[in-house]
Parts: sequence; structure tokens; C-alpha cells
Amino acid sequence: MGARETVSVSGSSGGVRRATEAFEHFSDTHAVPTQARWRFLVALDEVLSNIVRHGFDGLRGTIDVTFALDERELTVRVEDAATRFNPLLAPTPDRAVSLEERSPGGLGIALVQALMDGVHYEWRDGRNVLTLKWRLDREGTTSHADH
Amino acid sequence: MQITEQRDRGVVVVAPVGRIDSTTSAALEGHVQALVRAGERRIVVDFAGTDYISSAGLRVMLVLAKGLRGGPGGLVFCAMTEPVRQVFDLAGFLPLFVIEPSRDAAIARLVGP
Repeated sequence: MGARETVSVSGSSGGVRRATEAFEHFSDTHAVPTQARWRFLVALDEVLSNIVRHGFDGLRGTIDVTFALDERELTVRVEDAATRFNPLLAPTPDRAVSLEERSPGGLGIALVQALMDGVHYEWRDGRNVLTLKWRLDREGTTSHADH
Repeated sequence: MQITEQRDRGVVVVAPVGRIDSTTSAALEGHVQALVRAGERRIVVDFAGTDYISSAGLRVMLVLAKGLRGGPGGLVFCAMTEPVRQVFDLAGFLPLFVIEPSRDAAIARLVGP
């Protein structure tokens, strides 16, 4: 089992929607397990909406999203030529327990890191490259892995 | 995402059906903020039909909870699906909210037995 697909979407909320729909289609086609599926749908929403909000400074741009699946893991790579920005260096949210003290700042990327087994950032050839990984062997029940 | 709304014993039950993410959260925020502006003080959010929630949706819930603080009534969540419960958990949000397994239990929490 191995599959790979790249979609290029505009850096807009419509583009975010197109990328998540492409991921859902990829997941359907390749029988991606349920847990991996929703974890990546949430993570993609966080990562892509963040690029749309902050990355392009009002300019138009595209985001390339690559899904790669093998027996052991699912990897999603997000690449853009927007402003150089390593989201992993953003301040993490406070963990104050009271509601009043809680602010939502930095919540998205912290959530992505909690959702995934691995998140890696690289600035490569003038592009932001963010790679998200989730191990599949813990689930072991895809339609392919049974036999 | 679709939003259904029902009233039961003076409690408004809001049920977002589908995904709560960066592209749908504004509609949900508009919906619940309109309820608060209209003077509703007892609100249940029923997640039974919610596929998943991202931080954009968590923000809506945080703002709603703060808006209902300091008065009678309050906010109770119920029927969280596994993806919703796990995202609340991973974000450290579970201790911040009152969460019941069922809609009935959530309403009872706000109106008393």
C-alpha cells in the first residue's frame, strides 16, 4: 500500500476548503483509518487557515499540499511561498485552568502538535515547508492491513 | 455545518451538525452571540452531530462561556463525539467546561432536577 497526491490551492478560505475536501477524497480512496482522518482534517484547518490569515500579507498565493500514505504512516506536507514563518516557534498558550485567564492565542499550532506524532518545519528554497506525520501501525485495522 | 436550535424548559439547545472549522465557525459564533444578545442565559451545545472541531470552534466556545459568566444560568456541553472530546482534551479545555453525556442530563444541570 502506498499512495501520494498533491493538490495546489489558493491561499484563501475557499482554498482551505478545497484542500480539506481533497484530503477527504484521498482518505476515502485509500481507506485511511477514522482517527488519522479527523486528526489531519483538524490539523489541516489549523495550518492552512493560519497561512491564509498571516502568510500572504494581502497578496495572492498558492499553497501546495501533498498527502503521502504507506503502511506505517500518513504524512501531509504543506508548502507555500508566503512570508517566512516557523509556526513551531510561536508562543504556546497559557495553561491556566480558569476560564477568565484562558486566552486562545497560539492555540491552533499547539493543537496541531498535540494531534500529530511529528511536526517539522523547514525553510527550503524560499518556501515554508511544514510536514505533519501520524503513525498508522497503532490502529492496524485498515482494510489493507488485515491480510 | 448546519445549526439546529430547540428550546426545552427555558434552556436553548444549539446543535452544530457537520464540521466546526475556520470556514464555518463564524456562522456558529454569530448564532450563539445573537442568543446571548437576546438575553438567553441557559445554553446547551449538543455535539452529537459534530464531525470535528478545530481551534476556531474552541474560540467560539470560550467567548460564549465568558459571555455567560457572572449571571444566573450557564453553558453546558453534551453528547461529544470522540473527535470533539479529544480536541477539547488535547487543547486542555475539558476542565474549563461542564460536560454531560446526554442532552437531558445537560438540561437538568441547568434547570435542576
